[in-house]
Parts: sequence; C-alpha cells; structure tokens
Amino acid sequence: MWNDILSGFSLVFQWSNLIAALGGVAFGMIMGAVPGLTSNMAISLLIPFTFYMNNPIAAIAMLMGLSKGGNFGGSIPAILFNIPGTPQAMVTTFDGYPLNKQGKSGKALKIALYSSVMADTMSDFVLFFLAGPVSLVALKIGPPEYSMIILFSLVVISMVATDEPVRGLIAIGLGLLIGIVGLDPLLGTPRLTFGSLHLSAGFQIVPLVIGLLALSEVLRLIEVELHPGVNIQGKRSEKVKGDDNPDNHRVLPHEFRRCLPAIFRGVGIGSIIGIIPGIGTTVASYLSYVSTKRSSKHPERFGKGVIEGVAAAESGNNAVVGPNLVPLVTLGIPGNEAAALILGAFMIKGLTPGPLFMQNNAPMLYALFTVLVISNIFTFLVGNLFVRYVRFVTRLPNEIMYPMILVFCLIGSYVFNSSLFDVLTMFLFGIFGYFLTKLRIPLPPVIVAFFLGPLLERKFRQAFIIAGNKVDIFFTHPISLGFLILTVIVVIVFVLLGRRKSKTSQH
Amino acid sequence: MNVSLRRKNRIVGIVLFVICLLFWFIIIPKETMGEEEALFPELVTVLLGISSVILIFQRKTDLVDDNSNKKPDREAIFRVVVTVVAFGIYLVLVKFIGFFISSFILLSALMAYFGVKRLRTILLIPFIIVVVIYLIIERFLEFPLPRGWIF
Repeated sequence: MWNDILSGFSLVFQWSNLIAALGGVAFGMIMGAVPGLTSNMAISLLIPFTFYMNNPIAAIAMLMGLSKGGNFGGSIPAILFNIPGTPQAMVTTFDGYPLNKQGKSGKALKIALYSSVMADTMSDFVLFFLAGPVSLVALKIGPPEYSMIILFSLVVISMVATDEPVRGLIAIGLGLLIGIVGLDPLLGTPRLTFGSLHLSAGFQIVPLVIGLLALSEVLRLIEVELHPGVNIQGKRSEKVKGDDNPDNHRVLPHEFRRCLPAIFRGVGIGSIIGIIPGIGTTVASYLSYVSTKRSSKHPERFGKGVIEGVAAAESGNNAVVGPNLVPLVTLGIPGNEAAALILGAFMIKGLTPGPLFMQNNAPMLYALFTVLVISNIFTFLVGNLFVRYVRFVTRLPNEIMYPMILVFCLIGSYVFNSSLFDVLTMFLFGIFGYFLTKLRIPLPPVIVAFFLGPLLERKFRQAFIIAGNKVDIFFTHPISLGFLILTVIVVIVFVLLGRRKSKTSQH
Repeated sequence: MNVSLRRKNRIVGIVLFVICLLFWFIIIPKETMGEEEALFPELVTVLLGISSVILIFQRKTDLVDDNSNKKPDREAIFRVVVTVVAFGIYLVLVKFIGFFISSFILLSALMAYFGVKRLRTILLIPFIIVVVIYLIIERFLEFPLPRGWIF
C-alpha cells in the first residue's frame, strides 16, 4: 500500500498537474461566483479539452479544481447580494448576507473560505481512508432506504426551519408540489404541465432559487429599508458604519475557535450525506446548519448574522465533495452531477471506475486523493485574493445596489439555459416568494423539497414496485425502518418541545 | 394569542385548503394519467390539506407577531408594486430591444425612483455596470446575452 501511495505522489507532483489544478480552481471560482453559471457547467465546457491532454492526472486535476473552486465561489454572491451563486450556497445566505449588512462582509467571506477548505480537506481524508469499507454500506442502500432517508431529511428541515412546524410542513408541501410539475420520474409522461411545452421539463432549480431567495428578498428590502427622499449620503455612511472597523473583515482567533465545532459537525454530516449518491450538497448544508443552530446556546441569533451559521453551511456543503467520489471510484456510481461528468473524463482517459479500480489502478487512485488535497490549498490561496477585493462592491448605496441585483437576477436565471422562460419563472417565483415571506412561510424548505421531491417520488415508487405495491417493505428493511423511527421521534420531540415552549411563554 | 395573527392564520389556512381541494378534484384528475402518476401528487395534496386544517384551527402559538397590529406602510407597498411592474416591463423590453439597453433603462429609472438625485450618477453608474457585464459575460466567458433590434 505504501508503494502505491508513493507512486501516486510521484504522479501528481509535476508542474503540468499543479498548473492545471490552479487554473481549474480559479476558473471554477469565477463560474461559481456568477449566479446561473455553475461549476458543473464549467466542467462540461472543459471536458472536451481534456481529450487533448496527454496527462490524465492533469485533466482530472483541472476538473476537480473546477468543482472545488466553484463550490466556494457560489458563496461569494450569496454573502454579498443574497443571491446564491450555486444552489448549494443557498444556506450560506441565511447568516452570510446579514453579516454583510452589518458591515462584516470580509469576515463572512473569510470564514466561508476557511470552513470550505477545512471541511473539504477533512472530507477528502474520509474518502482516502473509508472508501473501501463505506462502499460496502452504500451497496445496501436501495429504494426503500433512500426514500426514508429523504423523508427524514425533509421532516427535520420542516421542523427546524421555523418556530411553527406547521409552516415548515406547508413549505415542504409547496416545494414538493412545484417539483411535481414536469415529466413523471418513472413513466416519463407530462404531468401538471397544463399543455405547456416549457413546463414539460419542469421548473429549473437555478431560476427558482434566484427568484425565491434573491428577488423576493430584494422586494422585501425595497419595502422595509429604502426610504426615497432620505439623504443618500446619510444612508451611505450608515451602510459603511461597520465597514470601517478592520476587525469586521478578518476572523479573529477566538471567533475561529468558536466555529470549529460547527465545522467538525459539518464534516461529519456532509461526509455521511456525500457517501450516499444523489442526496446532494444542499441537504448536507442545511442539516449541518440546523444541527449547529440547535446545539448553540443562542439559537435565536441564527439567521441574523452569526459566523457559526456561515461556517456550518459552508462546511456541510463542501464536506460532501470528497465522499461523493466514494461511490464513483469504488462502485462506478456517480454521486452527483459533477461526479457524473468526472466519470466521463475518467473514461475518456481510459480509466474505468468501479470495484476493480482500486485493485488495478491503486497509484492513480492515491494520485486522485492527492490532487483533491492540493486543489484545496489552491482554493485557499485563490479564495483569499478574491475575498480581499470583491467585498468592496458592498459599499454601494442601497439605491444603486438593489436595481443592480435585479439585473443580476435576470442574468443568473438566463445564462443557466439561455431561456427567457426561465427568466419569467424567476420573476413569478420572486413574487411568490415575497408573499410567502409575508405569510411567514420559510423559503429554504420549499427549495430543498423541490430539489428532493422527484428523487423521493422515484425511490418511493420503485420501492412500491419491488414490494408488489405493499407498504411493509419500509418496515422490513432495517435501515429504512431505522430512519422511519427516527422521523417519528423527531416529529414527537418537536411537537412536545413546541408545547413546552408555548406553556412557558404563557406563564 | 394575538387575535389578528389567529385571523391571518385562518385566512391562509382556508385559502390553502381551497387550493388543495382544487388540486384533488380538478387539477390532478385532469393533468395526470392513471393512479400511479397521481399517487404522489395526491399524497402531497393530503399533506398540504392537513397542514392547512392545523393552521385554521391552531389555537395557541408561542410566537407573538410584533407587526400584526401595525398598519401596512402604503408607501412601501407602492414602492414594491412599482418595482415589480418596472421589472415586468424590463423583461418584455429585453426581448425586443435587448438586454443591454433595457438594463440601462431599468437601472437609471429605478435609481432615480429610489432617490438618487445626481443626473451624472443616474446615467454613469448604469453605463459602467452594463459595460462591465458585457466585458465579463460576453467577452470573457463568451456567453451571449439577449439581443434585440438595436443592441
């Protein structure tokens, strides 16, 4: 094994590989920072070029760098404009944007960067050491287990998203309903499309997220924060009040120590979620955030600008990346879109991931692990440069910033698919999101449910088909039963907690 | 419990319940083919229906809605309506006169409406923003944005 590891190192440490990784990180960060352009888009654009690269390690290094850079890049507009650059950066907006409004954009960006890099690196070691044993467990997860894991995730999210669980359930229901529009996941027939060709593909995640989160938030801010007629100079000096304090743009040692539990929690949750194909970074990010919020001595501060919130979101988000490659390299099953694209790149280079990959290409596998760690170092270096300069955008007065964000909303939703229908979708969901906010129905569960709904339905119906249309399959499979019991426990605990809180407040 | 909040909850719950009934009796039967296709939409409708009933009959809440007794700020609401209408017009204009000119018009108009007084700021900043977007998105990333009759 040590010979394979040393061989792997010798494959990686060549200038062409390091330059490819650095270039991938930088390009990925730019793509991730522009809403609508995702690192997956960047990967698919660059895969054809890898065909002409003789060195397979350089090709893989560039693509992995893209993925990692894009993951952090998405948090930059999430913090500065409340527009997640990538869907997985959605949770970063919860505390990142409020921190920005307090004049602490530099602090928010830096803690996002440090959390991303730390979590990503630690989860890469999870991949390094646990790929083999964990792949055996991943093999045991079938449709009933999948559907119960997703159901558990959705219930947890609905319970913790707001102090009124019923509103969380409504949000989940709305998200699931929106996700139903399009093609039936098993039969492929149009459903709830009302005869529209545009709707046959369903709503797209990027315009939906931009509309629900960014546009609705801008409308809300225009309602509550803008006061035309107030001296623009006065507004501006109020806006940069916190901006002049240098401590607001760095992470102090005691603040970083405070974030460490959140980061470790995010690594644990993200690693577990990442190993299971298809669940995704958004769920890991959200579960990491709610877990940290629940463990905090001051959960009421979350959502108003606490750095632990940003750390939890980013660490959960980034800790998925490494473990998502576990099913890819051990079983040949891509864990997410990025892994699917990277699988394509592997095959272009004549490498076939799967159960025999570790036996036949061990040095290549260890080279891949090393590339992942090196990409994290480059993410840290390039990210620091980005963070230093990009936050000055926030010094713009609101009267200029809000119209600018509206234009960015259009760009973000258009570039995803070059479709004006997506722009219309974004606009309508923006208005919808504004009204939901007025009704105190939380938006993030809507998005998570939209994202997971089709997968939940597919796995649920597959389980039914396997069981011959009987429900007992969910009770006879141990992992499925375990998650079902956990779901029931979560509901009972939150209902009881809610009643106790209600009695206490009455007294 | 704050009476106004309870009333709001009831209205929301009733509206949601009516929507669920619409889905159950009209939309799902019309827009799905067969029981298998309709299963998941029906389950979701049931979930929403139950949630709406809970909301209607919710007696106690541990939240006090601090804003429930405040009258809505009409000026603020009007500002939002104007923004939404302006954005809607902008989307139509993008299709006909292109992204760059439409964006310049939207940025200038909204900045003026939101209170920017200096004409130079109203014209110069949108111009800079549009140029930067052109350079980054169209030139550097080579991604075409919608063009219209003019540009």
